Amino acid sequence: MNKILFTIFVIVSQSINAQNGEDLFAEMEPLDAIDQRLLPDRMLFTQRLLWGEKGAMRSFKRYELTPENREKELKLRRKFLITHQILGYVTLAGMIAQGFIGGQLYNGKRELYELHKTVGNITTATYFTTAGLSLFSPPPLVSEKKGLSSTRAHKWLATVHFSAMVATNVLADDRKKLHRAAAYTAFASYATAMIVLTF
Amino acid sequence: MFSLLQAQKIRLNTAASTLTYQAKHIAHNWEGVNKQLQGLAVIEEGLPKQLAIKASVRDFDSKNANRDSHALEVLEALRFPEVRYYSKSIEKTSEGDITIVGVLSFHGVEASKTVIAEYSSSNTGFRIQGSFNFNATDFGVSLPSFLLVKINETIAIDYDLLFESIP
Repeated sequence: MNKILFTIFVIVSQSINAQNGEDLFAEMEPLDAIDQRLLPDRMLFTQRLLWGEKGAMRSFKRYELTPENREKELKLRRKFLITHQILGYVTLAGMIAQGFIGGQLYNGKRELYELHKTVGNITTATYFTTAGLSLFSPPPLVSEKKGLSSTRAHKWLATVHFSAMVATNVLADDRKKLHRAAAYTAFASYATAMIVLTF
Repeated sequence: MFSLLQAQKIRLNTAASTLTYQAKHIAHNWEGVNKQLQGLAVIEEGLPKQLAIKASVRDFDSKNANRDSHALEVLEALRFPEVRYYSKSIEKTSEGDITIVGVLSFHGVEASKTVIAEYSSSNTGFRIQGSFNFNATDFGVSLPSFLLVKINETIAIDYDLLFESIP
């Protein structure tokens, strides 16, 4: 009896000692199932329209909701957001230029009107392209947490500058003072939205 | 024979263990903490002989969900959901220190990593603490950029791991 117990004990002990660190992973629990979720709980409604579980893009085989396709979507999202950043700076440069040109125009330099209009159109185009890249990008993997964060402040300010940009364009022709006030509001909230992301 | 009799496995106390990364960018520095680690160790004569730790990349919290989300995209979390470290050998190098020769598996790449950890033992197990650096690009990670400037490729890791036998 003692011999049997001794043999069992030696076998068990040797099995422990024979292991290297890598073998220990086999005895750990697998990742929580929650880790395998492909879509966040919350996303922008524009993203949900395109990329939600029943979004418009899901009718294409290439964008069926699978881990492999989501991996590709996340790469696409990165491209969208990098372009969003670059066009964001271009738009900011356009807004600053418009501040100078517009200021001169209000001071009577009427010859700058066409330039102001051209730069305005370019800035408007880059602005709304920048916005579109954010609004229609594939959603992230995880939801934003509740509470104040730099990203949330960026989004709140986006609603302000988006409205102000629309107003700036609507009021461009015959409401000069309001046009200028809307433009300054757009610039101030837009620049602040960029700065808050550095915190 | 005596050493064989003493060998036993103990688990990582998840609630009392953390793994923290620190990253740098010209605009700011930040850190992300993982408090959901899993680990096992084999101890023999009161000293760790082998250990293995794993963490889900989703469980690192930098207090900024947007940043964590970008990190998951850069780290291709759906393909490579885990970070793992396991020992090849462990030696007590001095009083209070152990040297762990092991393998770090991250972003689908495995690389040897030797760390010197502060070591303290107790009746129920042992604790190791320390830090090390690694270059994210060595593991095939494409560094994210902000303000069109990439983050520093050197990432600092701090660990505080408590292994305890389960009563």
